[in-house]
Amino acid sequence: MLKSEFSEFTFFFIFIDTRYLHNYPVSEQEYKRVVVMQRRKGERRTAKKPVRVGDNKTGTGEVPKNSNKLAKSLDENIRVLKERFSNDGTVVFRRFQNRYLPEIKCCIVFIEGMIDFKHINMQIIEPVMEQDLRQLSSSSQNFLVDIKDKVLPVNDIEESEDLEKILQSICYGNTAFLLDGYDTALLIESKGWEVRAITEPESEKVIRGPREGFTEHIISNISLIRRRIKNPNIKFRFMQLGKQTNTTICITYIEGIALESVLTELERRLNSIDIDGILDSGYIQELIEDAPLSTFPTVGYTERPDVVVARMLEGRIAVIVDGSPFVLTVPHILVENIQVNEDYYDHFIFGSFNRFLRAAASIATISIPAVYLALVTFHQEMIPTQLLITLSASLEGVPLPTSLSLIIMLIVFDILRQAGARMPSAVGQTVNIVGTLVLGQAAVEAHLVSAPVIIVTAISGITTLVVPTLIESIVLLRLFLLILSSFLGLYGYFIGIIMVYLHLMSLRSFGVPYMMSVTRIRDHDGQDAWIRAPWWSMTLRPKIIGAKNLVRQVSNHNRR
Amino acid sequence: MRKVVLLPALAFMLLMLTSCWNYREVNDLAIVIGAAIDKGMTENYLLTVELLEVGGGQDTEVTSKALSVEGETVFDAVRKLISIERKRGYWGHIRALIVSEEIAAEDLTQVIRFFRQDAETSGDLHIIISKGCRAEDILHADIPHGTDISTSLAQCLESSRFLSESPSTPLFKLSQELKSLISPTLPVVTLIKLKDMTIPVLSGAAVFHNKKLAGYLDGEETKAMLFLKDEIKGGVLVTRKDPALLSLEILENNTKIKTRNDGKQLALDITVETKAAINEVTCNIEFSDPTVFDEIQRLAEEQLGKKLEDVIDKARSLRADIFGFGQKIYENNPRKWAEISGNYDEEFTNIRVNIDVNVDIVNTSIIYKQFE
Repeated sequence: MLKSEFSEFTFFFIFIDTRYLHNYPVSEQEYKRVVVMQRRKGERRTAKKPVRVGDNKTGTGEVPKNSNKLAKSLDENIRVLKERFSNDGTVVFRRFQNRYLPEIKCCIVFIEGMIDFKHINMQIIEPVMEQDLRQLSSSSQNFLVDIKDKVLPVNDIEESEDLEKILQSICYGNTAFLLDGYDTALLIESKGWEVRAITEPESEKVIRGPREGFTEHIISNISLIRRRIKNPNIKFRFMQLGKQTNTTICITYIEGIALESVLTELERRLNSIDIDGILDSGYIQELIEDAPLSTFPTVGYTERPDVVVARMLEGRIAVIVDGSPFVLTVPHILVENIQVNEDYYDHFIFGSFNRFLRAAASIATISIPAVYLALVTFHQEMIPTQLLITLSASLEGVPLPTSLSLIIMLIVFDILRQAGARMPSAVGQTVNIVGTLVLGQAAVEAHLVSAPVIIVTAISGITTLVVPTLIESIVLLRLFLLILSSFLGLYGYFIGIIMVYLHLMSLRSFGVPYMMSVTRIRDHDGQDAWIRAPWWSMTLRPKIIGAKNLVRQVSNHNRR
Repeated sequence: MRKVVLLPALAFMLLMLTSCWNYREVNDLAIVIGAAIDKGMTENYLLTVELLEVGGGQDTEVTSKALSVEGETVFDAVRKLISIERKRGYWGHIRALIVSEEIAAEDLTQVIRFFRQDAETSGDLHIIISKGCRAEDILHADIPHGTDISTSLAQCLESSRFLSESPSTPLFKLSQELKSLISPTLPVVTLIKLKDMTIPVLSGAAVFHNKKLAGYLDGEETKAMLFLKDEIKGGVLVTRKDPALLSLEILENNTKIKTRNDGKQLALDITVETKAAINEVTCNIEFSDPTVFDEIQRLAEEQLGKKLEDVIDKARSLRADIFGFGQKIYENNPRKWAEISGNYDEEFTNIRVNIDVNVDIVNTSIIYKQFE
């Protein structure tokens, strides 16, 4: 078989193929030359035509193409495809003939591991091989179309002459059906690969609420969304991004609710992406963000279909990326970070209370170390006498100044957090013990740091985890405020807070103010920010984002 | 709407943006918890400070020590303290300042000016006059409870509202009174022997006139004075109803002073309205008779009225308007005040005062025929 012929030699060839050696910059000097050349090319390109994201169309190593079209001859087509798939042992070329009409020569091309064998055997090979095609052949104008329409019992089938499209389709798990004498191929849906089961997402667990989470499989992700909105108004627009990876991404929105201006802008930003590979939605998030230098995310992400649907119902647009369980949503505003799906499933008073806790914790986590430092080292007057005595006792004999020990302990905490996040759970326990015993108790007993510093670090560390989507901003902001506070006390702390506030006020996400509904409680702005208003009173969608179709429900006054 | 948000925000910032900014570690500070000022032997003042000594480690151990140093001015002495104590004194948490009789009789303000001007010291500092002993002796006395004398004195003053026998006059209030027409009164501390300990005890008030110590009031007189100043928050009115003694706990009090100008003579109408509860009766009283309450009220009114008159007489003999009568006249009748202010010390002794006391027993803890 062709397959085995290929696979046996491919691996051998990879190691001795001298072409690779020729193309590879052997010496360091030559390597530098190549890099400089590529950079110059890139510069020239940007100078000519400024593009917002991704300016380097060269250097991604496009394969030169001889011809974009298929030939009439089956052998020629197979030769071309084999050439393009050279050194790839997973591509299978299966030639076969019709049992009644041996002159019908055909070949299917697919990639092992991407397809469903049973499907190919039963729905493609069997009908073409076993059916009596003599009558069909004699009355046929275009035999390939007849095969497509009358022989192959498959749901998704497409004709194509474009070689690039055929290659891409094969790579995506479809099967190409080539017939001798025709310069058109049939692209038959035959995807079938191992996917992870739908489980509850680790990063967003709930006590009450649906347990489904997205997986890496885009189609199953789409079905998770679709199952929640049984309505033809939901739209899924597909596009391919990444020159090497050809990653499928899907823009999802509800027509009539989502803002067209945001949709146009999103498409413009996505179309201007020119990158060789997309491995996670994080790539796209960073490439389309409004303020890429800000640590505050202006594109939201979630692993839960119910959250995506809730956001879509408010007028947001989702971007699903194949291979990533994290679905992006735009526009994204600050309050979304403290909104949790469970708020909406629990009683509204309890939901509001939880939300208040989250907001308070995120403010506390950036403030506690800075305020503690300011009070202890600048404004002792503000500490009650008894507390001052206790603090003084615990600081006695500690060699490091409070500011330095706080900074060190916070960094140590973040190191522990990093270690804990990446560790296998068995080792994670060790990290915990080291963290608590060695760095906590032992350090205090050895008078290396004072006990209040450990307490402050611990409180601040725990409160960080309350708002998981803001961790990166919080960790950096906390250090920033702490350093300001170590120079200027509370004055410095307030300068920092004002700076952060001004920065947040200046942010926009797809034209929507980032601080929307945080600063105003008038009208219906505050219904879903600091509190979660009861469902019967949330008659309107959020402003600006839901402006296209503001009315969510006419009224549910009978509830009151 | 904007104001509603803005005002608390501004108030919050105003609170937070106080104090001075310089980085200093808490354990590098010698916390001054109290101070005493006497006349010095060689220099003007003898400053005694009570410092908190904080021992670190597993168990926090807080002790206090008193150090004395002389100086030409208060601040001079404060800085000279560094020659004895290795750490710089930190005055932000000082709770009590004890001033000796001697200095108070000369001029009180000469020493308290520093505490008002200095950036570190706070306005809630209690000023106490030492009677019958040197001020430093108070800080060297035995500590009755807690870790140090100053805190226990300050705490006694703060909880004295249930006793009302010492006027609680923190620094900010004292400086207000010194600026106004009221003669200030300050709490008094003396030393008493208790078994083998010598401990400081608060009792009564020191009366100041023209910044000088004019005399003392005892506990009962202080209580009467607080009634007239409408500063009473609690305390006990012991009422005699022969043969029984009744303890009436003061629940609420409202004193109003009105000026009445009939003709040339200026008169003050003082109405004292007290709500009290019977907390203790020393022997059986027939409470089933409804007129007995009226009688108790009448007796309490009589006896309280007598005390009020006595304390006014005492103040007149000291020529110190500790009740703020002058202030009231100035507020209500400025023309009359302009007339008499030149010779107010004399006028104060002659103002006609009508006292109307109204005791209302609102609550009783009586038991019918207790201990037959």
